[in-house]
Amino acid sequence: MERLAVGLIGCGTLSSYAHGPALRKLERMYEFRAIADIDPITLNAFSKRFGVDRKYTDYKEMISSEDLDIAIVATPTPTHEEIGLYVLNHGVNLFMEKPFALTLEGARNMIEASERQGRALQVGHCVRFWPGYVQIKEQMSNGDYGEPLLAKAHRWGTMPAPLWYRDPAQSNGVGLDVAIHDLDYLRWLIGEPKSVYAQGRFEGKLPMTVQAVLEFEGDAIAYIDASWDFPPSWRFATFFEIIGTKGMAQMDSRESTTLEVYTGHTSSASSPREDDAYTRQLAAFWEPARGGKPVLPATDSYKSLELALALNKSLNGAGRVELKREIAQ
Amino acid sequence: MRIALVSFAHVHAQSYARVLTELEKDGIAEMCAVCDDDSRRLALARERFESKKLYSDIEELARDPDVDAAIVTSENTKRAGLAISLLNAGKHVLAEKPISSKVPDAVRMVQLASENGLTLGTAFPMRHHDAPQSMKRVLSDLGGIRSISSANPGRFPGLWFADPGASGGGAIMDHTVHVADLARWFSGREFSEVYALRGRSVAGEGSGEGSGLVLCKLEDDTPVSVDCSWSRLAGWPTWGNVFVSACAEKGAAVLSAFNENLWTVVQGSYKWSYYGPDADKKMILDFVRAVEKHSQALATGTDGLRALEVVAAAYESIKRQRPVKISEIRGSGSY
Ligand SMILES: NC(=O)c1ccc[n+]([C@@H]2O[C@H](COP(=O)([O-])OP(=O)(O)OC[C@H]3O[C@@H](n4cnc5c(N)ncnc54)[C@H](O)[C@@H]3O)[C@@H](O)[C@H]2O)c1
Repeated sequence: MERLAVGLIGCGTLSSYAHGPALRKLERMYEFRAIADIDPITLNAFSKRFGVDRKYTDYKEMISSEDLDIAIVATPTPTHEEIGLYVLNHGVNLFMEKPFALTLEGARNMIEASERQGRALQVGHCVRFWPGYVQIKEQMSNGDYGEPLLAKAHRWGTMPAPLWYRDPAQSNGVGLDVAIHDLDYLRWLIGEPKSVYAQGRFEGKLPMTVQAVLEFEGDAIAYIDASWDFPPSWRFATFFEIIGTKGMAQMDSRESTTLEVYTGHTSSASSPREDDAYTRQLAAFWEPARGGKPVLPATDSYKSLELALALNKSLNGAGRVELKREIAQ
Repeated sequence: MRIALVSFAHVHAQSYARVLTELEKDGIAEMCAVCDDDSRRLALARERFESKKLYSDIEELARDPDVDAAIVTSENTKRAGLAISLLNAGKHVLAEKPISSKVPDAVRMVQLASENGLTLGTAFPMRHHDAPQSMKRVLSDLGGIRSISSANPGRFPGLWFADPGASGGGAIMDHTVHVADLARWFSGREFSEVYALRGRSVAGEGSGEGSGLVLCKLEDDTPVSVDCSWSRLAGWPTWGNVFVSACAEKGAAVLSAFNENLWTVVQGSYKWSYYGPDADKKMILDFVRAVEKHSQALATGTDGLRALEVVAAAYESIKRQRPVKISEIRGSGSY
């Protein structure tokens, strides 16, 4: 198997629990060659933890000095467009974290750069690789549930620690940052929605809780509930339910813990696995990065961004938003 | 106290009859009569409650001086008419939820009860279930409620529930009110606006919607969501559940009210067997006490009306494809 050289830009929260461990598991596919982060403390800690010696505080220097096949970008959302364009324009395949960009224009620019340069571009919609969600998609495709009628998705957590999330101009709040996961998944599972309506709870101008309902072509309706309003003692939780004409499925992360650990005054609960979603999604980028067919085309992720922005528009007082079929080519 | 059970149309009548039988044994109240406009159901009642008086005409029951109060468990669209006959005749009423299928009828019920000095309660058993009661106390220590996400998913009850002529709608009419009432009760705030979507009708069972997603705002814009869908398909191990998750300034509380179940296999099929609190019994006891003390039930007629306004606004929103203010539902009527 040809090993592709990977550089990671942004060694923060997500990279520490997702991309770092995934790259270590995928040694046969990827050489974890170099890392970049503007914060030297974060950079050094990550370097030590994952044993990557080649490190840069300037990602541009990494791109020009290292002969990378792939750059993974896991920096704060407002930097996605600039960094993504730089990566693509230097002929490097791009794995971009979700949300794709803060604006549709930003996403479109990256798609154009990837086409112009003939480089692969995949957005980190990890839920499409999450084992339970994948299984629901498979059973749906099998016709086990019949025609979809009702779907529900919860994604409940606490306010993320990095400060940029608290600035509405940088993160756009829980709708763009969190609800986009389920919007993307619902598009994959059911199809394109016709309308979206959202309401929520704001901290100043920052959406902290989003409750949204969607209508799809056909008979399906869906509910999405994403929140950062839970207190620090809360354990992140997801819930998904699909009801069809012939059957149904439901899953709840709180009901699917496989390991509980108790030490002194703290405890943890998790469902560890070698082939977790973050590992699967990076493994799926190997073929496209070698010129193969995209597993998750960026044009598809563009539509999820479009939908998330429509949700935000409704959330900010636009009421019911009708969605037109505007397909990015 | 002598209580009549009016109509076995609603599935909950079975549980209330069971409670009344228990209260009779305890010497607290007596189930003195049954009234039903359906001859087949009345015949069943005759077999089951031999010693009770039986009526097929509500006006006759209303004239019976031995009846102090009645529980009205008819089809939704008949409830107000029956209740109004009883209230006119000076009987106290506990109305099954939704209190009526139409807001103006519910307003009339509330007005009549107050004019005649009678107790009018709404059957909101969740207010009497121990877990939501604890949750209300817990929330009062957690600062202001910021958002509520709730669901009352259940099995399609069959019968007339998806026939709008008898039920006034479908799942939205049937299941919105329980959790909408809890949101009002927990927060102490009124609803101001509603947006809703309806899901397809239950195949071949009338035109009432099989599911509903109702997004509401309280008067201070606090978001409250309600999933009122008949989304537990045949084969699901229990009838359904009541979920309410509330985030507040200083914490959160998550209710799964009907989680106390044995996981059983009986005759080859997997079923949940409930052993949680008996909220129906506490609710009827509360109604009996309220009548005895000439006071209000924990969930009043007005509480029933407020929850019904959310339902009416939801249907109006579906028709108009936009959020609808509760004030639009009230129109010019002042109450
Ligand atoms: N797929 C998922 O499930 C998931 C989960 C969490 C976050 N995310 C996304 O991942 C991205 C990162 O989120 P996070 O929670 O890890 O944030 P974070 O703030 O913890 O990490 C971002 C890191 O990027 C570094 N950085 C900032 N600007 C940089 C630049 N110009 N060049 C190099 N490094 C730079 C920061 O120093 C920081 O270490 C966000 O877009 C977020 O939405 C996705």
